[in-house]
Amino acid sequence: MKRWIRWQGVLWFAVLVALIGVFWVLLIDILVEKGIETGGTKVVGARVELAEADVTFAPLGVTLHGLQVTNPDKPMSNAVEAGRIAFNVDFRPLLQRKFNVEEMAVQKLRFDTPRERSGAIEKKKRKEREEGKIAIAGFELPSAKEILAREELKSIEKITDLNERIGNLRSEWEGRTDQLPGPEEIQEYRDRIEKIKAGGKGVTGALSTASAVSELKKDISADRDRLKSTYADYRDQLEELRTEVDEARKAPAEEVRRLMDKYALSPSGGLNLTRLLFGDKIAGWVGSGLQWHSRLKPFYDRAVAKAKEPKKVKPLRAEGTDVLFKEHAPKPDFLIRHINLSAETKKGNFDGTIRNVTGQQHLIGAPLKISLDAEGLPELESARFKGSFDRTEPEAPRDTVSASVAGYRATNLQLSGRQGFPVLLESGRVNLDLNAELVSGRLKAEIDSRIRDATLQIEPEGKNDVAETIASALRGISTASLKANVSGTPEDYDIDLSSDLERVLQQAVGQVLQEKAQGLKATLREKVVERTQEPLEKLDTRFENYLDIKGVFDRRLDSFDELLSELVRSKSGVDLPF
Amino acid sequence: MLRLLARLLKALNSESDPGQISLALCFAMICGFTPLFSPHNIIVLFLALVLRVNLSGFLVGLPVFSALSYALDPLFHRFGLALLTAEPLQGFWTALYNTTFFRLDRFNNSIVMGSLVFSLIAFVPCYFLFNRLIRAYRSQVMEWVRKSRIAVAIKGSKFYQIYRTVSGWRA
Repeated sequence: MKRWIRWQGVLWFAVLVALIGVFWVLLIDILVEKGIETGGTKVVGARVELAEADVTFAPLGVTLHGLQVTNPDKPMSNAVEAGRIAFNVDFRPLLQRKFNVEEMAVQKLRFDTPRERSGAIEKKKRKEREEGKIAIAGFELPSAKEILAREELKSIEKITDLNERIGNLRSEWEGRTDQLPGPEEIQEYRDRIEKIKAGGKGVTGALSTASAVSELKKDISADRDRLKSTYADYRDQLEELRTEVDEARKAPAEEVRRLMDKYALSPSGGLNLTRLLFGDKIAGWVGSGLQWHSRLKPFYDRAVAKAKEPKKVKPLRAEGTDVLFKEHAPKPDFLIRHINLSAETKKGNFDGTIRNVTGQQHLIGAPLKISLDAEGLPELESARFKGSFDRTEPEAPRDTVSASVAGYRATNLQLSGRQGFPVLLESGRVNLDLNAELVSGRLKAEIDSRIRDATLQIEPEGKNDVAETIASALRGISTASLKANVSGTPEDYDIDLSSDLERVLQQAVGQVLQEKAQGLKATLREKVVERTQEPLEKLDTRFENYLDIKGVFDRRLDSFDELLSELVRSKSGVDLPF
Repeated sequence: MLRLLARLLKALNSESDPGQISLALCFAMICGFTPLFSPHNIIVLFLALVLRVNLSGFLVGLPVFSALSYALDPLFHRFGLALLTAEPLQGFWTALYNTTFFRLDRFNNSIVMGSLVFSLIAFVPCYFLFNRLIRAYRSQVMEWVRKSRIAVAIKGSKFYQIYRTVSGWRA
């Protein structure tokens, strides 16, 4: 026994473990700091930085100081900054690789703070939402020439495609009609009729003639039925093509409508100046909200991995595949039960709570809930934000957000960033209500804002009569309301805007803009018709060629009808009893 | 590293028990094949230190088996996955999955499971194989190597000086 045991090895082991322990204790703060920075940067898509992390062992807890989360859209400012975050981690679940925190305190939370250096992690070109849109300065419309230089006419493509298809179908029908009974067969039948007519006399002759007539009638009828059946197919196709040709003829007009919707100031024929002025701003807010909703997804929605289902498939060194088994008491891998927030903003301080931060809500049966409240701030009567991100039933996700701001004393608030026509709210009182829900992928939101005691500053760039008229109309306004309804999916949504400003704006410039739009429409129509004329003529010619097939069928069927009538006549001639 | 290699060679060339070197290599095989920072390797390290095994053999074997595992990982992955998804073992794995050590060591990972089970199965056969190879080396190869031209060349090298120094400690 003694030969195999090295007792001093126990001491070596203890020393080694102690060294590893000391090394770990010394490095743990840096490891946590780097881990949060790396993981956060990956989730947010912009640099996440931490001034200091402090890990304690009894009880196991972490305190983070100076967390900065860069706004990915504005790399020179932080979307969120937290002065101090402190929490204790449950030790036992941690041994099972589960990060559970019962209570977390987040203090000195600030939003939209400036950064000393850029927090961008890569320079990538952001895809514009309305790619290819011509920038329209002020309220000037683009010219028909500009629009047509930029746009590919879909109507021409539609007409050309149909033209080609009709050509192919015609060739196909030519082939099919060649396979059907045609002039040769008709001539053969005529010869057989003639032969019958010149048939034998007497009872024997009459009987053989009767038999030949019967057989011939059967043959002619069979061929005629084949022709009729194929003709029916042709007529069905003809009707479809006729509809498509009619649509192709209407395509240029549709094209003009589409281009007017896209470029003119009167979408869908109705002039909506509210949309023109504030549409981009509202779309920007909605887009930004949805972007954050998607970025924060790992904190409330993680793909539900089922037991026994391999998670990864790349067997790299020390990676492999994790096989999950049923847990007796399943708990989320990551859970923060309760976060107490205290935020500092330029307008004052407010408090809030966040509950159930986990990507596996189905395991705890409760949704992520956010609640923020502020009252009696110097520049604000009250502000409230409530959000619920429900994935307790992963198949039926439901997210709701409601927010209200009352009596916000706004100064220098940009209401419209429209190129060449910026609208700035110099001062005024703003009330805002927002209700939004995203249920099973369908987005629905209502934004209701009201401004009173407003002083608007509008300085249109360049000389533009329409913009000047609108500016002077808006300058006299002191109260206004704006309603926005958003509907669709997060990827493709519509914003419907309405405002009591619309009436004022319509009175000021509605007529002038309508006339401009009508002028553009007329020119566009002329140009589009000019471009589509030739393809349409070709289409007409090809369709007429296709119609020739109808003549082939009609002629052959007439011939067969004639043959049958002749057969009946010949039958009478031979005086047979059928 | 040269010093370690020299020590291993000295152990190989000495009269010491081949079992001590073989056992060291077998422990190194477990640590090298399985992910190094797995908690079970602390137990292996404890055994390597407490049992009278050749530590040079353990320390030289560790990087060798670690390097080998890069090539063998796809095999470990398949083996581990087959074990973890084998229908008759589901109850057994589920029970283990609900224990802390199983989760802490990530035994539900195909590579951890595959490499550990593989090295445990190979442990005893490898122990006897290494024993046999060491004995064969001592009886047949050692004398031949000593007289070979390469050995003569090595004797004039720095490595040999280190080897002599290490040998000198014991002398």
